[in-house]
Amino acid sequence: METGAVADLVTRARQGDDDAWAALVDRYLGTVQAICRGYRLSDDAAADVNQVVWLRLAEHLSRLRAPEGVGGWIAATTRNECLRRVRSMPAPGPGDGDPPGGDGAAGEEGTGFDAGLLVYERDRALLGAFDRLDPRTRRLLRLVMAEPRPDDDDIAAALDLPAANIAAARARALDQLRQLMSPQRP
Amino acid sequence: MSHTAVPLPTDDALVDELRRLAAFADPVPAAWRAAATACYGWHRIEAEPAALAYDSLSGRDPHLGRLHLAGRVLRELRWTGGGRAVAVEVDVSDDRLRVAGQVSPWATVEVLAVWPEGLDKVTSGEQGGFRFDDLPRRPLCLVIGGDAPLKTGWILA
Repeated sequence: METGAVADLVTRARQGDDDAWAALVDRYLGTVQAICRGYRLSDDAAADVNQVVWLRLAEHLSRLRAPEGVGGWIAATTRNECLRRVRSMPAPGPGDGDPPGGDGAAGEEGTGFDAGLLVYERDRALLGAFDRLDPRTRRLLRLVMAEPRPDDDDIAAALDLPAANIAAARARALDQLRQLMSPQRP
Repeated sequence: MSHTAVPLPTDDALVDELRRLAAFADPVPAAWRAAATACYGWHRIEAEPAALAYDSLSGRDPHLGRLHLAGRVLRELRWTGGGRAVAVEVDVSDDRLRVAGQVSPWATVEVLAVWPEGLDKVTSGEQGGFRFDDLPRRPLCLVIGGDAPLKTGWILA
């Protein structure tokens, strides 16, 4: 979606247009989910973050200095809320696997994918490879695969990276994923 | 057939596969959309947004603004707008909230407590005091009635 169209949605939502708000939700709900999944929050915590983000947006809608940057605002607010929850969680004990938002090795829980739904071996292999990625790379790919795909500026806001680095980071992340899918890898 | 027999995909093809997999195995929960839609209700409340003037939780030390009393957390907030102010003390206990507040200048007005799924209302006393003794522990905003109604931002307790 072009930045002008996004700014128009914000302008209309400020004026009380329900359809414009619904269109903003359609545009950015996947981004919010992708960020929450990237931090491996529980379903309840992720749902709570989702609600807080939209509550905050409704409250700040009239004060956004750059309406065209609403996607970045949503992404950054979601990241901050996720981090707040990760910090408030008790430290994991030995054998607890990958903690929410942590930088350790991936565990089975918290990917958000229901692997039981996957019928094809190739899909399970892809999910397995995705799960073995380091947490930062998973977070990036979660955003890249979100639907609708977030703009690079929004991905940058979600990851606190320069937007100019996103394309290269995406290529590296996909390379890592391919390597993990490769049969030569133990 | 083993996945090892399948050639590795290009970047775009791999992203498409991931996107398809996510849409199938991890769709956005319907409840999330409903929650996001409901949040617009705050914007539609016909009242001027009040500015947050004080929040006891916003100090540098997160414990400075809290009083822990037998597992309860007290939080103090104050908003101003249109020459009026509302100060509240929020008492968080398990899954319930108690809110005691004061409107100034003193006035007898209707005060609404609004959360995404409902609302409650009381009337402030002659000296502007009001209280809600049993609210759900949900995001909450207050609407202060009168000739020029005010609405607070969300209180996330």
